[in-house]
Amino acid sequence: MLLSSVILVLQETLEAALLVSLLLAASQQLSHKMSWVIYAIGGGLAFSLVYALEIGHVSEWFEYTGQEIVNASLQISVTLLIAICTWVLVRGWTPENRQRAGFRSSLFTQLAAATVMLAITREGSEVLIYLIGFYPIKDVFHTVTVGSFIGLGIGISVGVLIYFGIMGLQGRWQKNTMVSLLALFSGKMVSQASLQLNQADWIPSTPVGWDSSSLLSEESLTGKLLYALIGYEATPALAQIAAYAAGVILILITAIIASRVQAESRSASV
Amino acid sequence: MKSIRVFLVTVILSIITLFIFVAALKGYQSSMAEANRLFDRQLLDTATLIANLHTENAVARFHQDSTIAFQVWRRNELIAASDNAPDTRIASFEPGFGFNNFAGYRWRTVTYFNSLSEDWVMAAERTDLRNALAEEVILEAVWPVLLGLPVVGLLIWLIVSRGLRPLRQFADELGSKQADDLSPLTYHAAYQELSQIGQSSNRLLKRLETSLLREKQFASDAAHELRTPISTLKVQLHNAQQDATADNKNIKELRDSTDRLGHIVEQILDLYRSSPDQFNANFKRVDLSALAQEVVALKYPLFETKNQQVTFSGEPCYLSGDHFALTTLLQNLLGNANKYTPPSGHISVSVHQSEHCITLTIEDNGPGIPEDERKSVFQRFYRVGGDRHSTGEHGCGLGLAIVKHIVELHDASITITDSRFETGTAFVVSFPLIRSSGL
Amino acid sequence: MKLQAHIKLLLRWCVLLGMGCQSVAAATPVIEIEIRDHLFFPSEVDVPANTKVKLLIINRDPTPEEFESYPLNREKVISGNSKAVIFIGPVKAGDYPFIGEFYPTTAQGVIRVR
Repeated sequence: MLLSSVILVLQETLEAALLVSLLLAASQQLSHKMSWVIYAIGGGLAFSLVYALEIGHVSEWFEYTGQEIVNASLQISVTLLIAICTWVLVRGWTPENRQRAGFRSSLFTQLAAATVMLAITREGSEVLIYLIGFYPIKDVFHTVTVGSFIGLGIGISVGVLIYFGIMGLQGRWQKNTMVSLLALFSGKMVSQASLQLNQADWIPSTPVGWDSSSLLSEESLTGKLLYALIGYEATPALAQIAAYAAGVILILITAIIASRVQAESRSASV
Repeated sequence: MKSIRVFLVTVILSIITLFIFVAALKGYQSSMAEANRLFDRQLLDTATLIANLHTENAVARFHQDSTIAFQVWRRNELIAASDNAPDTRIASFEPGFGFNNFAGYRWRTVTYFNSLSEDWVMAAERTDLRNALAEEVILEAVWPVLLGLPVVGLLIWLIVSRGLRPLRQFADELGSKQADDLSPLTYHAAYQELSQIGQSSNRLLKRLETSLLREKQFASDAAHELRTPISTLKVQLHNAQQDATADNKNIKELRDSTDRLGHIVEQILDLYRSSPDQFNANFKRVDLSALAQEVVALKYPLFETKNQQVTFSGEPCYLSGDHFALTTLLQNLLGNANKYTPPSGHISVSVHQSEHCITLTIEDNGPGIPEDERKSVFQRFYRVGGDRHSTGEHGCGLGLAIVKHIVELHDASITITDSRFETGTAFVVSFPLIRSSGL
Repeated sequence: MKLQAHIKLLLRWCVLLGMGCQSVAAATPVIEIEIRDHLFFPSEVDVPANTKVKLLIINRDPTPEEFESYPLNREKVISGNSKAVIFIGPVKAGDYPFIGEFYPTTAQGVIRVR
């Protein structure tokens, strides 16, 4: 029970921690503001509680595939928000750029807060459903809380280290690392959304792209951590691979266009 | 602003948490595997025991508590079983371990083949109970680690704070330095990490001191050297004026300029004449009130020419100070008042003693000094409104710098406030009282 | 829902055009799995190969459970005393284990694709 609760909580915490530390590092770079993250996490947890309590109703929507549709919508929304965040981040990397682009100083923090809130709504709901389900069973709940605490601890620790790791990088490297990690995150989101839609039979199944389960099983601890961090799948469907690529390319193209526009506006104003 | 302390505490705590928790997980995993191996061996022993006990051919049902179930099969016939086992076989006819669901639980099963009696003995144990048991034992070991973490966090916080204390104290030492205190810093000497910055700061302070000293020396030397030629110049101008026609404007202006030059040189000499160490030795008991009246009397012709009204109020107030320096202070303040107060203006001088200090106040109803410039007027060569003063008066911007210097030498303080007239400023100088142990 | 049908169609076309894979079978067989006392009944499910199957999972427990199959890439929360639909396949023949992620030590099963 302990191990499963650790892994369940860790997976969701790690995913959220990665996104939060990325956006936090970006907002620290852009506006030295950090307080938004408290509101965003609080809001996300509140939404996820509502979602967790209403999961029974949500499941019945769309011929018992409501969960998949809601999750996929949340994942696609998070992806689009990440794309906008990337645009603002690359376009307004320095104060002069932000001024030239006409960005308000609070623009990025508001976008980041919305992104984190939506992401946590989905991730937190699974943990809350789990905890609420175990609450009545006293002796198991004790074990489950310990496990959740360990999972939360590891997840947050990794998040903190990622944050300071990014903050330790300089200038261009920092920006490129942020954009690359955001791209991977977005790839994971789109890939999971495609899976959800496939599970709901909104998109058909496609053959399995590869099978690396003998190399690194998805059920192993490492496999689960990699799943949470970059969306590793041992047996991904072709549609999923395509979706992952689409998510990554969306962010990369956004970043490239943003830096082009940025460079043009600078040369125009000089 | 980034905080070194927050960085250190969060990063160290994160790394510790990460390692402790991952280690606890790994420990849990291997303990769990070991416990399961142990339980499996016990289950196999049980199966073997049953096989060896059960030799008669009778079909029998055994009462058993619910944690263990068993069946004995002979040629596809159930010949013995525990109460809680179903009628269908609970494991496969293959020696070894497996899992099965029956009676509402998940069971760990083992099949043992007794080759003598050709019996298949299948024993099963509830997985939830064995897991709970193993987990309970392991949790006992994990708990202290979890409870210890907040303690570790607190300790790290305290240790980091303690570790950063030298830095803070070094900063305090730097921050509490007086503006003119250029003595070397000493705090850093005990710390390897601070010695570099401390030594650099000290070198900087040393360079600053040398250059300040050089500036002082240069100014006073130059002023001193200039004195003689200026005096000669004055005499020669006087002679030239005698010779020339009565109202030669050029010569008159030349004389005014020379007077001003002489004045500046005198001021510069005043400013640098006294350095604190040689100064305090000359301190005497001085009646500030009497001295103020003396200087007012001395300057009276100046006030008279501008038709200004000077009032004095005060009682005898004795302080410890340098007679000459205090005279200069009064002369400069009164001179300013005379210069910047329009004709027929009012000037008020007062000297009073309160519980804590002796206060000299010189007020006028001149144009006043804007609030934001009040700090700057004490800087050398600073003039209100820039080079061309609105009153058209000439000055070199040294007078108040000298006043400030003298004020500091007397451990006094000077502030500028609005005067009690409608316009104008009040210069308030507060001198400390003579300590009873003194003069 | 008309909009839903349109989106479905659009998504389907996107994937069909993109991947060029086979079209979807008409009648989808339904297979029921029950959860009782954190156990799957049946714990072994036989499914025809290369066919899309609709799993109808009925949770008789008051507690929620999460159906999870790593090889099938399926994951879904089923709240207490309710049912859920999960589409799987078409997949190749083989054994595809699944677990209840909330009670993984007891809730285990396998889908045998023949």
